[in-house]
Amino acid sequence: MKRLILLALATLPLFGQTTRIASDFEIAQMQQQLAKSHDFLSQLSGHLNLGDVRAARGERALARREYAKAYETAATDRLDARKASNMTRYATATSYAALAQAKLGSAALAWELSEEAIRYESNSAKTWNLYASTMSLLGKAAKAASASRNAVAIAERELAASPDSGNRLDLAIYQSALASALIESGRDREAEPLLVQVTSSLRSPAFDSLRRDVVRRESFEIYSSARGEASSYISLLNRSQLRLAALYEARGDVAAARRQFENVLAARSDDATALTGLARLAQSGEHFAEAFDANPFSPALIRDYRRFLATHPGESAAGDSTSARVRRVLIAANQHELRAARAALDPLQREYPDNDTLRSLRNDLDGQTTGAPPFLKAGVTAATPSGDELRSLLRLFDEDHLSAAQRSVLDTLGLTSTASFDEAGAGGPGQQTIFESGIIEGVPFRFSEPIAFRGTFAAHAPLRLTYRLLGASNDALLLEPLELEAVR
Amino acid sequence: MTAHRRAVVTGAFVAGLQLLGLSARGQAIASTSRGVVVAHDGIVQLWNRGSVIWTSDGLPAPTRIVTSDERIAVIDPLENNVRVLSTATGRGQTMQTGETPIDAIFIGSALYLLERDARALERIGADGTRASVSTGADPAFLHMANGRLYVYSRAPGLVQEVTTSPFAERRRVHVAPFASDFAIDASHGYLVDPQAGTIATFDLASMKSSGTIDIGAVPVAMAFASTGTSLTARTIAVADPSAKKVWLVEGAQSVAQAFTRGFLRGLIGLGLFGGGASQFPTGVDRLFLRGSHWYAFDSSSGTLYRFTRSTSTVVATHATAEGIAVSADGVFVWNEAVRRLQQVD
Repeated sequence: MKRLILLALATLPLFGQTTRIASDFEIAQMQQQLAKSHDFLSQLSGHLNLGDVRAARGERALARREYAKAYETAATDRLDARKASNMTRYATATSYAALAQAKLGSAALAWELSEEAIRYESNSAKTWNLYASTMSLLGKAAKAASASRNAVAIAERELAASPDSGNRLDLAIYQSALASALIESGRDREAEPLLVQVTSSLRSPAFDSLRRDVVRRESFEIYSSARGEASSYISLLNRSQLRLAALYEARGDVAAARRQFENVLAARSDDATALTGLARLAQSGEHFAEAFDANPFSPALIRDYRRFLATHPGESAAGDSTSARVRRVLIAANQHELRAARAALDPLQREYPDNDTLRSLRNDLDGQTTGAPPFLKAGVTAATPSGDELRSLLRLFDEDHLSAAQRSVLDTLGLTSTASFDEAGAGGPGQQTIFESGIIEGVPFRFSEPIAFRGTFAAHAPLRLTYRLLGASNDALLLEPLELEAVR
Repeated sequence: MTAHRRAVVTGAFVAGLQLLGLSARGQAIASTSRGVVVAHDGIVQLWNRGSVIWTSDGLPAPTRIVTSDERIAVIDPLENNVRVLSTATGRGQTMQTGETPIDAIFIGSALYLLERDARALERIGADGTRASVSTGADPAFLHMANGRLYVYSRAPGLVQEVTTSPFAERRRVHVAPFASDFAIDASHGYLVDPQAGTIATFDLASMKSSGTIDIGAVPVAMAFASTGTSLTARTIAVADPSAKKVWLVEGAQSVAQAFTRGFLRGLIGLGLFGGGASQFPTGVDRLFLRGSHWYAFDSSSGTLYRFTRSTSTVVATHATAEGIAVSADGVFVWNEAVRRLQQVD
């Protein structure tokens, strides 16, 4: 199986990850690629990357849809592999199914699948690395670090036995993942030498041939799920240098941090994270403008720019680019010219209706985040909302008055209510009931598509529904069902 | 697209997951002297003859339950918790553990807990006092024989023998690394190596490796099918999902003698059912053997089979590996769809 590496996005503690914004054209290209390439890794990495791109654009519902498709791809391959008695392929597909579930926020399931994979392949550095990525996504940094240590130990043995560039690259990948997990655990001191080792290794003559390949192919894309040696090499070097820069910046070594950011930009001049880092270090409006050109919707960049504006009240932004228009919203808001800020924001929101960052800016401007249910706060993972609370959520969705933080809570919040469904659809195979819409405490809801539930359930009867709240549409809440059962 | 297909496509839905034998939330069950204990949805319940005897607070993501005559330990490896309860009353307490507790054993009044990512075997006394013994990297299995504990660490292939008094490592042996299952009897330890397609054995008396035997294509799990007599050897059943078979290994001599002489090699490969045909429609990878009642489980599809030397029959579908308990009273499966314990055989 070809190399597919995963590069965790949320491992830059100082300033967060600021990936370059993907244009609609680039997303369309990715979708076209998915339509053309039907092999397992193309489909899997395609959906994972699309999900990450959607998430970076602040389009959470679309991101979840891609992650769900990635899970479906992995789950199907898992069963196919088992039927074909290919246990290695089964373990790999199971690992990816776990990863997709982690991206969807299903911790227990991600754990169960990860454990199943490792039963078969505890000798595989790749499987342990996937395990670590899954644990990292679940916020289990200590478990991720432990799994990464296993991956590194196995890869070191493999490199000693066969010192080729492929094994050297694999070891660098796993060391980088270990460094990420250590940073997440607050063990920066242990992570830094590992990252120095990784970047030194990647810049060494051992990778001359791969670098020539990168230049020859004009490869420059940075992926969260990278395929092939060239793609893995540039993505890994990019991420490792950014992480190292973050560590240097955190301990006040500005020169070393700047050097790493510049190294990143030497390979890719529009890297938004590096541009943001340089802008932050230089406190330069010009640098911030370049970073906004790379990704105008990055919450981390917006946060840094707001801090910059607080000490640079004379800033201005000229031009019609999205970058300049977003900056004008922020500049106006900083100068308390709220009407001008709203006037600048309105056309942007019309142009990017699914963008959560713009919604969040709107909420900040309106200052109308009140009225949210009390469970809509960080750390809450389950709740049983009242009818009034659901109506409040419906209104907040309709008026786009949920903050990014509140939307983030909704991503992982499991809600449970007594629901009554509209008439069931035609039954599927076996004992199944299909529902699409219904009502909870007088609040209408629907699913994005008809869902088949195992078991026989009556319409218009009280049923216990566990669900996630995705949004609102046509005066109804849009739900993702997690479980349906009889009322106990 | 069928309705079933839609449920699977949506990925995160329980309806779809159950069809794949997966649980959206942690759950575990185990048999006790007073009934079957179930941990699910943040609670622990003792069931007996279809009724709930008691209900107690539980843990968010339980994956394993271990029991003694008097006590129950529910383990949550994701949140690093263990909840120890009285089997009689359900009263108990929750304790924080080291990183990733995965297995435990009660000995006397103490609970011995294997913490994988802490790389430690921890003893929690009845009064809450704690002590620990360091293990190798990736400690994955814990067993007891002859009053001693045996910890197998996958990465180095290390088995450590630990005494309970004093609580300390006594001896160690390096066997096969990366085993998928570990079993032990009074005289030998057995490690299933799916990559090599072998079972590696070691002798408990000498704590020395006693050989390997080839078994099937990808052996994954094993269990003792019979204890043997003075005239017959112990019989070992080995699940091989790749071959969709359960292999049965037995010899006229004692297992130790047979392994030493390589005598069993000639018997390996015959398979439980003999011939080349697969006797399970899907590959089984876990075994639950109790006396003459033999069950095999396919983790990928969630199918539980009852099997004999010549037949296999489906007894449950949509089950999860930790949602199955085989007791003297029968086979119990937790049905997540209806939130009930069901006796399936």
